[in-house]
Amino acid sequence: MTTVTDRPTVLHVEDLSVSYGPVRAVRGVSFALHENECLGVVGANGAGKSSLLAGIAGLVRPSGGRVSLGGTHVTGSRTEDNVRRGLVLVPERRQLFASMSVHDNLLLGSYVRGRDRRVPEELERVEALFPILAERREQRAGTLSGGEQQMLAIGRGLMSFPQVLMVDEPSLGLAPVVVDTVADALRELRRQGLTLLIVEQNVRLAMALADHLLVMEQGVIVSETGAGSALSQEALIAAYLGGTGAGSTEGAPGDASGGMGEEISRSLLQTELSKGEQK
Amino acid sequence: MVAATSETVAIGAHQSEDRGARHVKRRGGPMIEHMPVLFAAGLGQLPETLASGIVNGCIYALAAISLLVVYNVTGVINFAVGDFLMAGAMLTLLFAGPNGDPHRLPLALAVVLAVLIVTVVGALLEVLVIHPRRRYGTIFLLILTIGISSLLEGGALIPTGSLTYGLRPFTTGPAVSIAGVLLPRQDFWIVGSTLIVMGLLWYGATRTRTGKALRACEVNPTAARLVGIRVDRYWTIAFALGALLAAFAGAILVPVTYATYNMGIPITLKAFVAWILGGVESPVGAVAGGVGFGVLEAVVLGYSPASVANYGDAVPLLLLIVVLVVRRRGLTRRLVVTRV
Repeated sequence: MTTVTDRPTVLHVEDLSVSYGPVRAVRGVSFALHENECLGVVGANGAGKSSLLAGIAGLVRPSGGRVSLGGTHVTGSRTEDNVRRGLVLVPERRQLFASMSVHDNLLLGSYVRGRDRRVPEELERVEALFPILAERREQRAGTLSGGEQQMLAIGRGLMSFPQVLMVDEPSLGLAPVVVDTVADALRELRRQGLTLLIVEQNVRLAMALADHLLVMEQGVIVSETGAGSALSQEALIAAYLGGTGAGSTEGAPGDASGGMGEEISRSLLQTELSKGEQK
Repeated sequence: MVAATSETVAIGAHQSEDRGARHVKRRGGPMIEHMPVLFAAGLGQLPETLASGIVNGCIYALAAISLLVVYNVTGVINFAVGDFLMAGAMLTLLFAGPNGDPHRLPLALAVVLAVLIVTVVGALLEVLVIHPRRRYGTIFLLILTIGISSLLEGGALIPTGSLTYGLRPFTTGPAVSIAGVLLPRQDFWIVGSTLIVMGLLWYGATRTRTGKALRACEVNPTAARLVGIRVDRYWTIAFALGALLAAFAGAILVPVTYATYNMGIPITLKAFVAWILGGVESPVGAVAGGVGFGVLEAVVLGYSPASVANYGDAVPLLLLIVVLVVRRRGLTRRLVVTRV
């Protein structure tokens, strides 16, 4: 049986660092993401997971290291341009166009594809994946429930025909039954051949989705696991997360421990984003 | 009182003695020139007064929308809006010729050309002046737009001097009487074309890709970047659109007012009040604020003693103070909070 690592590398991250002033949120992270692989990044709050994605996507300019997409060097390129290349982030807190309709949100997702004839097909595919979005088509995005918003955020990401879809905390703040729906959809996308990079607090969910997990702690990858041994994986994670690894899909995933670091890095990331687009 | 008819035709350049159009002052309109000692207009003039208020209100509405488009996308309060309007008026005059000189360009072409040039100037000023300093914050950028305002005024002063200019109405002829109310023909042009422009704006914002992307930049700039919208580019588009709207207002206004190099700032103030009246973020509100302010101004100036009406410029400022006191939270909420 061939493993995912035999496939060509789509996204290559080498020694990536992200800093907010003197605070180094990500310190020298390296990994490779292969075609049709689903890579999970887990870790406690404040471990630098979201900053890692922000650095890869170009929302924040990395302070060091290298990101290449399909062999093209994209370190420090702007998010807008990365979307055109097929590197798409579904961010934490979803970042929808709250006062616009579900339909307009999805159409804006394919902004970079212009009048591509595949857009209507993709819209159908997204609405087939998340039928609720078709039902709510004319509703304002801000009036959707948390789960529906997450589905819309993923759907909007898909509308640009991504090569790599990065999803930040897909289960954050969602009810368990909704988490299952979102997880099923991600699995389905995987089956359809999408390459996924998922950051997730909920370790069970991450393990269920990903072939491969990276464990982050204080900005570095402290452990990598293969798809082989589920038990030792769990033990490993429990060790590094101080028990949060035992948190299951039934618990509210958002309320794990580790508040301080999380708050700081989150607020720094928000500050960075509020400065608007990069030069 | 005479409604604007034959006397509005073919007025050339003449020296400004009363410092020109400090208001959107209507030639032969009910407000200023024929002011009786006690009251400018009797109650019998109410329909005309209201009509002229609505017409002026259309101009304020266009200028308020211009402020709104720029502010919603970029967070910049564009103090030069009145000067873009002035530039539109002056260029229309330049191309069409103050006296309807047959050797000049046809009117429609003159308007299009004037609006186009101002639009390009608006885009260029954004790229060259605003954009490199876009991170400096609201107040700094506001001051930059005051600089742009001075620049445009100065740019107009050199070729035009302090002269005032008038243009014939788009269609000449006697005022149209509707139910006994005499309405100058240009009024129909102003109201009609304002409605058309508003319709086009609505269509553009809700039905076109560029319009939706522009709104996306307003609603959530981070999300806009995440779907690949180059927010930088939409800053330029917003300024260009703002300049276009103001210039168009200037072009349709010039037949009923005197154009001078310094006509912009009073209009900026009035547009600003109209915009705030309308709630800062709502396009419908800006239009309602513009028309509402136009009518209020016409009534106040029309029915106050001449000694008061001479201080007509104080009306927007007084209203601004009232609005800011009453609606302070509504305004500062958006002006102070940084957008994430």
